[in-house]
Amino acid sequence: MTPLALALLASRAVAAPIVDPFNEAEDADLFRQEEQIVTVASRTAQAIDDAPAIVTLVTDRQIRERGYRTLADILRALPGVYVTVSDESRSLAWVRGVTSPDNNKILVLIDGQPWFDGVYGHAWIDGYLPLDQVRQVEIIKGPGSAIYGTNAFAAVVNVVTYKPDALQGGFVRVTGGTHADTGVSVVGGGPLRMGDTDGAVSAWVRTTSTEGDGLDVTPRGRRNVSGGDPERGVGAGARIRAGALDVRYDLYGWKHSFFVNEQDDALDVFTQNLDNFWLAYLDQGVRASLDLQAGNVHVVPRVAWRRHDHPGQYAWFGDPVTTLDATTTPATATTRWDTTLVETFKQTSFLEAGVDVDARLGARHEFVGGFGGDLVHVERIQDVTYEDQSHDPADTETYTAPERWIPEGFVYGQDTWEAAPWLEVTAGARLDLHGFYGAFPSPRAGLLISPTANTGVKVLYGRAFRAPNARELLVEVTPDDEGRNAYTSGNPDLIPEQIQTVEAELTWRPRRGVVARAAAFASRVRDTIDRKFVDEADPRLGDLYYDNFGGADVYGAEAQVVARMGRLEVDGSYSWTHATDLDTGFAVYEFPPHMAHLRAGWTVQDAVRWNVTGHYAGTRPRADWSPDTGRRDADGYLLVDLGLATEAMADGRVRVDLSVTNVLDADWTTLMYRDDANALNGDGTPRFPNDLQGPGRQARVGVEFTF
Amino acid sequence: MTGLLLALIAAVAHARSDVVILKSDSLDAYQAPIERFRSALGRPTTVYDLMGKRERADALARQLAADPPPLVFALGAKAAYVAAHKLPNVPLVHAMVINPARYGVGGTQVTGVSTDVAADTALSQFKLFAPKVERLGVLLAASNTGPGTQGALDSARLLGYELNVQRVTNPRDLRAAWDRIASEVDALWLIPDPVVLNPEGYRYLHGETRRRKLPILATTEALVHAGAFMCVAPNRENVGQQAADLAIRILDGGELPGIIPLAEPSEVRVVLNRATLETLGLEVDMALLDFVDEIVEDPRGR
Repeated sequence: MTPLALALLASRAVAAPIVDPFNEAEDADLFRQEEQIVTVASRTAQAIDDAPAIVTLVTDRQIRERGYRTLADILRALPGVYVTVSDESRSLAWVRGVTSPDNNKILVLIDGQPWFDGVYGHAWIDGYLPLDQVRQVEIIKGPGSAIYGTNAFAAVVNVVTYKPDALQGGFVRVTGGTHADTGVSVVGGGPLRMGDTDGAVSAWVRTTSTEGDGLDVTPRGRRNVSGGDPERGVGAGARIRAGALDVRYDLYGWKHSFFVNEQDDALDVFTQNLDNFWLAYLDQGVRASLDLQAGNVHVVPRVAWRRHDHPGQYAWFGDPVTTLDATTTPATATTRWDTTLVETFKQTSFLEAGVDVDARLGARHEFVGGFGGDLVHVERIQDVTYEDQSHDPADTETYTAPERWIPEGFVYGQDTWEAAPWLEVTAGARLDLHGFYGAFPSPRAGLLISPTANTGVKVLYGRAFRAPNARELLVEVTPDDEGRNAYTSGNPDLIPEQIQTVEAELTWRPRRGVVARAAAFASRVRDTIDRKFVDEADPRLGDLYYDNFGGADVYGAEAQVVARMGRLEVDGSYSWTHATDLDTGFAVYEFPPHMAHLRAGWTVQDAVRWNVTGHYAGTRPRADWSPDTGRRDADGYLLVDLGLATEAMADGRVRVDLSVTNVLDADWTTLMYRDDANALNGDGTPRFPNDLQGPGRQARVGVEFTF
Repeated sequence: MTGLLLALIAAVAHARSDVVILKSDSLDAYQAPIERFRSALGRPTTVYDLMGKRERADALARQLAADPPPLVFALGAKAAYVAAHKLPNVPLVHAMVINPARYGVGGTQVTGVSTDVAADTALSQFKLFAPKVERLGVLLAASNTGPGTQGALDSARLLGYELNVQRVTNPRDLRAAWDRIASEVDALWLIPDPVVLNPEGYRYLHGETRRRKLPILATTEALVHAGAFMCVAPNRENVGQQAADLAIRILDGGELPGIIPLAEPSEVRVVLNRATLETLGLEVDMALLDFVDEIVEDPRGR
């Protein structure tokens, strides 16, 4: 029996001078590597340094410590990402100069499964998606269609939840905060043995509610407050693994107020606070996969179904009409407002099946690939209009789409070749086939070079696309007698928008605890799908319809340094983006060319961690887009957020965290929709007078009880 | 001020006939050996926590040097370092110190309980949890050729493992050395080695083995917490018992610490990282997990 102690003694013989342990980190810290394994880049587990993409990882611990409440908060803190809000009060993340009013040029995955609706392809990044059961969030800035297909255009965000196998018990999380912010969530799970089959089961449920800043008029002139309107959420899910079989069900329910950005007086604001201004989402999905392994090959057949039911309701008042009744004595005057109530229905579902393969081929090749298909069922897209409080619809045809099944298919493959210990080469492509536009190929290539142990270089190329969605393809709009469209007509001849990106990233670790990054990119966006106004109405589509035209040329750079010095951690970043709209030659609307972030984190006795983060967005382009209304470029803003979190207390069973957003209660705005910026009323005044006011200071406390 | 406070505490709470227990930090891991040591020793003891702080250690060392205790039981590298260098004439028994020679912890007044477990014990346990592993990769410094290392390697061969040993002369050789064996091994066995086993080297090997879905058999719990698949470590309570036995030999038997060899752990515990198990997709009989003494995992499942 030979003890390892002897081996150690042998190593002592060649060891060098005596080391002072007070100059060393604890062993656990010395070797600990934060969770750096991601699956978002290639659908298989990879170290970030080995992933053929520019990847950022945010762990559950960082989510708590930094006070992130939503995916939008996480994305806002990344260099090159600008978060704004749509007219419908939904958060939008614009990445590296690529903008979208429907947030469909980023792809959100939940444990690798794309999660967007069939009408707009919207990626939800606000309170819709709870972070309580999230283990980590993996973000690619750049194209991802070579693996994931449509919508992986400018970014991919993979939300990784706790696996049932990893849970042994669970926790109850209770939150409360300003603006009647309340929430409760429960996450639990653990091993489950079924006869000779081992397995595990987990479940989660949550409910949340906030009144938000609401729509109000205050002495500060705050109107149209975005991102903080009344919101209600419920959700639930369950997952079971039995041997190689993994089955899960998820339900996300979300409802928030819907405002139209044309409110300028207290009456309008009041009406929008009524209960009949809302949008709701009831989304659910089931999926099952079977992980079959033979040697170094994993074959995973999978099926999935998901349905998105999005009802909504909004209304408006016409100008007041006063009538005089002279038959009475004295004569009586009555003033009434014409009312229009619109009920909107958007129901789509997806039925998907496919096979994914992950195989090690020899010693130096790793292959991922697969094939599959899905059917998008456009069940109902329709607006139903009621006039003057009538219960009989006045109009059901102006905005509607026929029920339709849209077939899609795909095949993809990617090989990673470790050509040398310091060189890794990746090449791959995906081919998508679509019932409307036909075929679209998405290639990718990457060189990963490690010239020294502390330095890594990635040089990447990728092409990505966004397929036209059901709204853009199918909605039929009835023109008025003059051939004018009240809404934008769908266009079945659309082809995908596409982007090609070349990018490079340098990562340097000059000493322990210090990481410096620099990256640069250039993107060509083409065949952008946008609303097109024409003087001569198209006989089929009218005078306003979706079409492919224009695009954007974007290039930029970013730099980031993260330094850990004892209990202090500092993270600073700056990004510069030059984005030009090809149709107009203007700088892309609202996207700030300059953004910066500075975060300081401080650990107090290993038990309490503070983080203070400043987010700066520079001047945002607008003047060129609004010559008639004469608006200026929008000022930049600085927001400061605070996060505080404790480690487990009370014998490891209680954790507490606090987040305060906009600590300085700064006045800031996101801009009105691009096409509204230059709109005029008949009298020549701006039709949309106000930008969207950002939320003021908001605080939230969370307490978790582990069981 | 701190010194004054410590002096006051020492004067009130500690008579110099008491054995001093010195722990490096406020870690739960130290609690079990301390309790067992105290109960087995049967003498008055006083516990001091350095809390990882040098100034606290210096102040305490000054007080203890002025009124030395009969023996110091030190847990962790910092405590052992302070005792060995600041109280060179006080008998020292140390425990839970990885590679004490690295910190100059040795000499005529020093003995302790090793953190190192016999190679065949560790490998036998590893075979249970990774039965399909037949080929072990080992990376060692070119100079690490002593009989201990050779004996460890022989133990592996006796247990039926096919070894693929690569030698490196400096840390920069590590990647090339790993590249030479990566495709020809089923697991990596990390034997203590000053050239190979440093933070940068470990980070690289950890990433590479994760990528290739190969388990790491480590020798310390710290590495398992840092992502290695498993290790076989000393049983903490038993470490306290063994330390007490050494202290009794010194205090009651009059033996010189320096001639008592480091005690090998007489009982071991298996520590396994569940997240690594899942990430690597290792097929482990779930019933075996009941025999794991500690499963490293985030309370929320990381």
